[in-house]
Amino acid sequence: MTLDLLQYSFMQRALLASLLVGLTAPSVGVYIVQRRLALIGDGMGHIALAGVAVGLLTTGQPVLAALVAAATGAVVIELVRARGRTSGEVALAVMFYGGIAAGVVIISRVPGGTPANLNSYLFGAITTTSSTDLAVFTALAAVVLTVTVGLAPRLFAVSNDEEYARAAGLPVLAINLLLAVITAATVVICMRVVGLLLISALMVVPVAAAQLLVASFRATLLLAVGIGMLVSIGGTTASYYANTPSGGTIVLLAITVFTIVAAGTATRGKLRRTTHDEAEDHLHSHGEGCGHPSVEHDDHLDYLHNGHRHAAHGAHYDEH
Amino acid sequence: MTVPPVLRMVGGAVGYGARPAIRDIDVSLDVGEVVALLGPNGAGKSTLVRGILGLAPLMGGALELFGVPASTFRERFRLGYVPQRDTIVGGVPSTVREVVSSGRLARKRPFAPMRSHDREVVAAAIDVVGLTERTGVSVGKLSGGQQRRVLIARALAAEPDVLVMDEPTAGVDAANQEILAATLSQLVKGGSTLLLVAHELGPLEPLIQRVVIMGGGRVQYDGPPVSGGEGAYESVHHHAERESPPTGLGLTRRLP
Repeated sequence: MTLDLLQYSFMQRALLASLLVGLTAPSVGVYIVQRRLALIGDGMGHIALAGVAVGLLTTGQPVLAALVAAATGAVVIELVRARGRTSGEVALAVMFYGGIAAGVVIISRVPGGTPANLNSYLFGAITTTSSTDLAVFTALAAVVLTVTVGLAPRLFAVSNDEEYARAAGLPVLAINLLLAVITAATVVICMRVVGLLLISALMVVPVAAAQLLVASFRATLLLAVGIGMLVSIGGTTASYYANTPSGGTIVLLAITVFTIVAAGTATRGKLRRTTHDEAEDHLHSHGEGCGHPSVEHDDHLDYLHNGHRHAAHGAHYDEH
Repeated sequence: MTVPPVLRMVGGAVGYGARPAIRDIDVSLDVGEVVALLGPNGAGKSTLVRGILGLAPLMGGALELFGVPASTFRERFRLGYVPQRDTIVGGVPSTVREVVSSGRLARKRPFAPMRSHDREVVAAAIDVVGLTERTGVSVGKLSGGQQRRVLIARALAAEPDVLVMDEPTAGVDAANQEILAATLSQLVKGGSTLLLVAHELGPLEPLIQRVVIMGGGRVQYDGPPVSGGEGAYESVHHHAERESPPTGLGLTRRLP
């Protein structure tokens, strides 16, 4: 197979946009997943649709209008969340469904607005990325990556333990608002390639797959970005040959990766559990005259400790 | 010039919403002191600590931290907070080093990279709690007691002037309680100031220099630890709840 898809400038733009999607969505998503707010990107996508519609109706600039709508929505979401009221959740639901309803209704009234037109915003369409869009996406991606990489420790601290971060004097609300706004920017970067209804999947699914494979936050972030780029570029390419909507194709590919990883780690975990059971933590070192009776067990000594047997294994003890 | 107290609250009221949950609180903590804040559930211990830490609004009275009014105090990292948490696992795995490093941030400017000195402080904090061998392990793989020690190390990573710990031993198995007690006694020997919130002291009791007993949203007792172990405190709680402090135990409200 030749790379004939690169002959078309719309495909070049689509692949570049996919690259930006793969880079940015998981790097924002890792913080969203850390806070267990996996669906927040979905809500922002809903609100962005209203922006797209207003943009189409007034200026013909759906991308910039979507950015304004999503960023405004993001700030409101964060302020509602900061107040911590249960009624806040209902307020968010009203905003999200209001956004998508307004978007659908307004687009239907736009001259030239068709169901196909609406579909391309909801589910992504690789052919629709213009060179102006690409310039906007690149600028937004630069901002998003500067924040997610440069402020990674702060975003991690606040996402990991908001109360502690506040007690330590970190500007929690400001950091949360910043994360909300770059999430909105990421929604806009993804809207052409993945579509507003599927954006959240690209923020969440690569992170969900990556975290099964590694132990650290940093490694999760890097691996998730790798998976994100693989599925976004792979999915866009596949959608060109299979003539399928790019968003759905990319997300199905991401879910396939996640399923394979999850199945693999589950099998590995089962094998490991049957062979290795680590003892509870203690500073005490078992040895001659430690006060715990020892018994021979195959090639080593087990020490009887509170009714169970401990055997040295590297730096810790195993239950035998 | 005398060293200002770590904290000094006069007539403090703290709470959420319209009505303060605790009132008329006079309490202070001097540099080098090890103070336990005791009382039954619902007595207002955690509310007081949250008020001191700026997590709950001060609705009345005055609070000074290191001689500065709390509202203008900008060095919150000097108060090392160890929250009560059963787990510190978020949606994404993070290693002991990553969680402890997040405690160092309050001393760093935005975008400033971790320098070798920061890494040394983080490594030393992990060492103090005896988790050096687990530095690169995901905190989700640790026991509850070990996770509690990670939170202590996180607080230590900011090199605070005082550790404020909410129920450090609650829900921690006996072996880990001993390790916690050993860790804290090491810190106390090094001159650390500690404020411990506790339902019961357990193995931490020998460390305590002064106790403040809360009951019904007020301070019921503030003075040296009562001899006679846990039982003595129990009797104080029960009397305190009836708002008739027992005589003969030296129950004098220490006024600032």
